[in-house]
Amino acid sequence: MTVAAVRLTRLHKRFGDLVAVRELDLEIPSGGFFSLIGPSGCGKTTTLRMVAGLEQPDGGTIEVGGDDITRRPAYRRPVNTVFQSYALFPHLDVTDNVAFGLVEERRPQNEIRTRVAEMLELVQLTGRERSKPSQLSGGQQQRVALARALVKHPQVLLLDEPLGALDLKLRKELQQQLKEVQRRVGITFVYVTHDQEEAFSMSDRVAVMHEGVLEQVGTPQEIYERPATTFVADFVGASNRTEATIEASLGAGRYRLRAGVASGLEARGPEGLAEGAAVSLIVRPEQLRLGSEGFAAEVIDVSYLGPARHLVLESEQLGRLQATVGGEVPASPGDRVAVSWPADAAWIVP
Amino acid sequence: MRLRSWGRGLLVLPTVVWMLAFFAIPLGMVILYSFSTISLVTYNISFGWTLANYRQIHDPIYFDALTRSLLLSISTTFGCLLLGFPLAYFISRQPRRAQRLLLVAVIVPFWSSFIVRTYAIVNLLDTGGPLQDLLHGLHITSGPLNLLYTPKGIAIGIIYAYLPLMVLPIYVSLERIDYALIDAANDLGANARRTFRRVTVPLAMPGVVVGCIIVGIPALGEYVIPQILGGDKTLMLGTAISDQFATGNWPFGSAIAVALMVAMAAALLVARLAQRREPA
Amino acid sequence: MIIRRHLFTGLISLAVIAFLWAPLVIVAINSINSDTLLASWKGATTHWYGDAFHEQSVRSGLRQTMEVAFVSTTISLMLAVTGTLWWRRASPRGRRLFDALTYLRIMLPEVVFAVALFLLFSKLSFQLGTAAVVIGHVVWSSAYATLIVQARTATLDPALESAAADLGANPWRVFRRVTLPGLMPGILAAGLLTFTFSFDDVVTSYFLTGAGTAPLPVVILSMIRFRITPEINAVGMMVMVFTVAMFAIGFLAVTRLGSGARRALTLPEGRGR
Repeated sequence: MTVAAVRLTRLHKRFGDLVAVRELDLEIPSGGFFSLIGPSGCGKTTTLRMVAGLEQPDGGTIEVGGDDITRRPAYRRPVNTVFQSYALFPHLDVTDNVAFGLVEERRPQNEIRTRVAEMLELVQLTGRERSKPSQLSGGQQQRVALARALVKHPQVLLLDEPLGALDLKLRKELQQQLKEVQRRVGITFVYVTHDQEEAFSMSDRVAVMHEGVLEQVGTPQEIYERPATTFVADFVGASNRTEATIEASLGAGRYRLRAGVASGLEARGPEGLAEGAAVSLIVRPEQLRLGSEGFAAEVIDVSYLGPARHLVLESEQLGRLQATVGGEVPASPGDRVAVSWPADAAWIVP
Repeated sequence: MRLRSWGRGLLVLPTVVWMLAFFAIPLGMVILYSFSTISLVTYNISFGWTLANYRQIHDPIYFDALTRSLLLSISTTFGCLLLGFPLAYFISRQPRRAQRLLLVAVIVPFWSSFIVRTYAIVNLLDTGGPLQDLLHGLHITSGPLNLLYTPKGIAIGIIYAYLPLMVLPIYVSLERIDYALIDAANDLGANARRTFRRVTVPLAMPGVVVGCIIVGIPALGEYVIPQILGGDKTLMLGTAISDQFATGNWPFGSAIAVALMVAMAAALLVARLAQRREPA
Repeated sequence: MIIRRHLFTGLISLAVIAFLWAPLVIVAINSINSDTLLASWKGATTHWYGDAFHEQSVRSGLRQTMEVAFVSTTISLMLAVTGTLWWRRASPRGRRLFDALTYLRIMLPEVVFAVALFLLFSKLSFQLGTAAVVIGHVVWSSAYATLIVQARTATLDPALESAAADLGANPWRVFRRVTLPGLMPGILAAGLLTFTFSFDDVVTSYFLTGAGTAPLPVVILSMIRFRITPEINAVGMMVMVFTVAMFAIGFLAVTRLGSGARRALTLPEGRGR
């Protein structure tokens, strides 16, 4: 059993009257790419800064690689951070920036030179050693910040929305590069972002936070297909949601429900839900099918999305529905259609 | 990086200690001494809590010095305003490069040695000096003009020394005004003078108030200028304090010093009220 | 220059500027006037400058002024930097008190400072002289230095110090490697300003010099008591050129040389914060 890279136990942080992080328990496995996502103000950045040592928690413990570092100052922690604003030292050139942490470690000159050269090669910035930060583009500055943090071989690398200031194309490029770097170096990356798509494309595991509380932790697939709360369901993608009651448990996480007038719906959900429990039923728009059988609905709107079409439908039994359908859709506003979905596609959120 | 709070307090300790020892305590001593008496025979100072020193300020000589200082402060502030406002306005209406040139022209004399400038005024005001030659040449005056060693001379010296301090804040306020709007208003028929009075002047007021504060308040306590340009005939608060301490009458000198501080605090209060009434 | 449009203010302005420069020009002219009595122009000569250089009181005065200015500037800068570092992270109340103390030292007339210290030193039987003058200068010049360093501090990016700590630098190393380089333009400007204020100072020096060597401005003051000679003008001219040069360098240090570092060390704009 490998030691977790980071373990947070009952971590708590308050700013005046505002509770930023509330009794957080989280384990981040070592060696992978882990993302912490959530809307602005949910406490993800505060959590990251507490791990880095830039904020002091009001309660709880922080362990890195099994060591309790809660009371240690930032400069003595085996973690390094890539900042949102890059925070490159403007009076130092690229080499001195990257070498900064190694100088603090009192490494011998030739060791520093070798490691810096290696790192610059890894982030593809060889040839820019003497440039000043002001002479670099945003993407290049970000890579210097990455090199500077990685060159110290920390146990954990923390990244605080490092791609926020870049345009879309550059962002996607760098997302790919970050993922590759992580694979090559093998260090645990902890990545904070509010962009769910970005997190999903890069991460092995994702944690969703909301108002200081951890809503769910899991692989991107688990989070998307089996959200634990309605917040998570809505945060990671659009969903069709309706209130329902459990009629019967069919065992192994399958249930029969009644939603409004519709009865006998089958869906999957977390084990252990009781009969009669009030729950939410979720179906993702891309799971809806228009066909000959299913719930009657009227097409309200059809939008062209390039590779797909987005439809808004109104159903008497289920209310307003959103559907994303690929290819051509033989329907226009005003038509009456039948909407259905595969039995496995429906998910119950307690 | 957060230092522990007591550790951080260590940083401000040198300043606190220095000011306590060499600022607060000495000032306290001045206040203390102002209530003491001195025997003019033995020069022994006894601390008896008396107001005699303050009563002595009512003596005509010293009371004159007090009123003269106040009047001089007010008149020099006014003089600086009279000369400084048009200058600041003129500069703010120039294109960028001319502005910079003019500002340098105003600042450089200010950068030159204070004492040199002051006795340069002596040169200027002296009978037989160039100013009098000029005025004679223009037939504005005839006969020797006795400006040196008079309050007028001191006033000229103070205005000369403090003028840049009035010009700069006013310039900063005026520079923010978008003159395109004013010119548009003028084009549309608004009387230029009215626009100036109702738009430009109010917008310049914050700068005017700041200028008056940084000219008027230090002017109350001026020592060098009255000393050089006033000679022994024109006593002001600053020179009075110096005289008393020079002759050993520390209690009385302290009392005048306290009076000066009170006068300044009062002036500052008035100025602050004026500032508060301005919409910043 | 647009004069036509603002004829009235333009004329006043030019007259005022002439007024500001006239005395300085007169000093310059008189410093090379052969006429000892300065009654009229008697031809140009530079021998007054030679005389001034050789005058003992001028030389020792200059040395004394330099000494005092160096020491008081150094101490003032140390107070300004430590005070500002504390002030950055201090509570609002602490800041208010600190700022009040700073402004008080700027507003209070120098005479009051001088006599107050005079009283203190007399009571303590502390000898007047160089040390006393330095102490006096530091009390008010550190206030100006503090203001300048504080202003510079406002432009520093706090994330840089976080980054340095994150990379393993303890608080002292953070100061040495990141904060100090960032503050340097402000420290230079503050240093030049306080040096020149101290160099130029009359009141405090006059009261606290005692029987020792007088700084140059006090020497000039006593020379003026007798008569204004061309030699005094020569001395004055040299002092003037020196102080203007110092201020000019300080001004450039802040605006031109400083702006590069200032631009670089300021908070990044448009970074999607």
